[in-house]
Amino acid sequence: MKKHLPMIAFILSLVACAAAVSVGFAWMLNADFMHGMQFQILQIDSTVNFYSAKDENYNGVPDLLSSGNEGKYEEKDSENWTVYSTAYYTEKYQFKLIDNKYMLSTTTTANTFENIQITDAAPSRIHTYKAQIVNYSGFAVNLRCSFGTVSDEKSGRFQCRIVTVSVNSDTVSYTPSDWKAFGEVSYETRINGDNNDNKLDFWLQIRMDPSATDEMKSLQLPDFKMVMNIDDSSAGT
Amino acid sequence: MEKLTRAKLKIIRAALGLFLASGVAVLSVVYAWFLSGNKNNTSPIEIGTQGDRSMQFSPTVIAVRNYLTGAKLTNTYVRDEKLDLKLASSDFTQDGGGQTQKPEEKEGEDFLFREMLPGESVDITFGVYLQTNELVGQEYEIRLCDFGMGENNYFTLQGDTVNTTTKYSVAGAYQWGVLRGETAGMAWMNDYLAEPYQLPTAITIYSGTWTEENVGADKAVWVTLRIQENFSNYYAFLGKSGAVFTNYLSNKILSVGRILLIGK
Repeated sequence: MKKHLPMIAFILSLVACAAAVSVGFAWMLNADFMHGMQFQILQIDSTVNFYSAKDENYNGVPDLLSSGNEGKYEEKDSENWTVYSTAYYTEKYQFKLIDNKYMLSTTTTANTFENIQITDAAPSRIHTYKAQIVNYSGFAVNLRCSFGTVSDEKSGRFQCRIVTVSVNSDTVSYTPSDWKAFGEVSYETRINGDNNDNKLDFWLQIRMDPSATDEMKSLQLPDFKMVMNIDDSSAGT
Repeated sequence: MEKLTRAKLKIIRAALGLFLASGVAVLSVVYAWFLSGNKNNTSPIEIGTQGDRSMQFSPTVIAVRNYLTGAKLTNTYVRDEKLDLKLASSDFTQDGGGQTQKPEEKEGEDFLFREMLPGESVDITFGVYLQTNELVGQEYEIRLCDFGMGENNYFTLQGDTVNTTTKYSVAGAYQWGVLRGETAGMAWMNDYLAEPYQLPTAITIYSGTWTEENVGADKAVWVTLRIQENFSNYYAFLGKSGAVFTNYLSNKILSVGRILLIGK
């Protein structure tokens, strides 16, 4: 046996060497790969359409849509009437699209703002705007609206309020808040994430103080800020 | 007699040397494999063609992002001279009546789908084929490996017991499936409800046997992998653990370090 030991060791070595070569060769021959795929999570995804109402007498109740145009709005740069694709009720008042924005964030907070300019203000006149929000985030988000810092001293002659829009079956009801100064307006609500219940409409109304005595051809209002955030109670919804 | 013993010793030494050398060779191959398997995921998709590989991925990968609004983003990735996959073209269509912000895709960008939402999916289509008929009859697998655990790829969770925190991959917010026709049976990348919670090292997404029909790039077997974001597993996991919820998905990215094509 001792006599054959060197030969056995030599053969074993050759076998091990062959195994090493074959493993390396098989690796070179039989594998291919690609790497580096990345997918980022977006947490908040909402759209905000902002409309201004046509209200001939500025009484705070927009003009009604003509027969056949119910559920439609006027495009901002045309005379065409477009059907509200994301509406959850049939709009009966005349609105014109003035802006559309996105609220997107990979974190827990997203925000946007609307810059409103009034060019035909007069005492007691009410200017009506509508925000239409669709929450595509897949879960509930909180919405908080307020005005930014007031810089134009004339803005002190104005008041504003939020009019909530609620729908029960086919009945649409509008509930106005009290008139308040810009800095005091705050509207907080929650928008669900369910595909069938992820929309919110509300009106923003701005009124020049009835006791004011002058007209204003141009007034830059403070920005109307909309902030969305996710909180603990969003889990599981 | 003494000469004979010396000769035997020389042979034994040579044999031992060969044995050690082969051991080092095996270890180096395995180590190289290990190293390449742990490359980070920040680089773009690469399709490697080192050596004379008989099986390989197609040089083009098409990825279609399906938005909830009905919009679609179709990205085509091709190899550059470094064999990395870079964005070559991008097409965006807005359908379904919703509003989707058009993404700002730039040619040459890495493989990254930004800002995906629950329910959104990306369908990644690539081909696999043989260069020669040498491996006909042999089985092969396509695996997802090397799930990233970089800073943006995991969250820590505090359990019922104070001071007990565990690190989890964000992969539990994603499912995968291989499309059959228009539907896909989806499976979790990382099922938080199945212990152990830790990510598997690899997931086999597709397997097959090479045939004569698969020889040549124009006869590739085309596979469409769907990656879908879904938070239900994540929410159920939080509920079961009794953990305090804060928003753990903030600023998170799922990264699949490698798609591997290999013989069984």
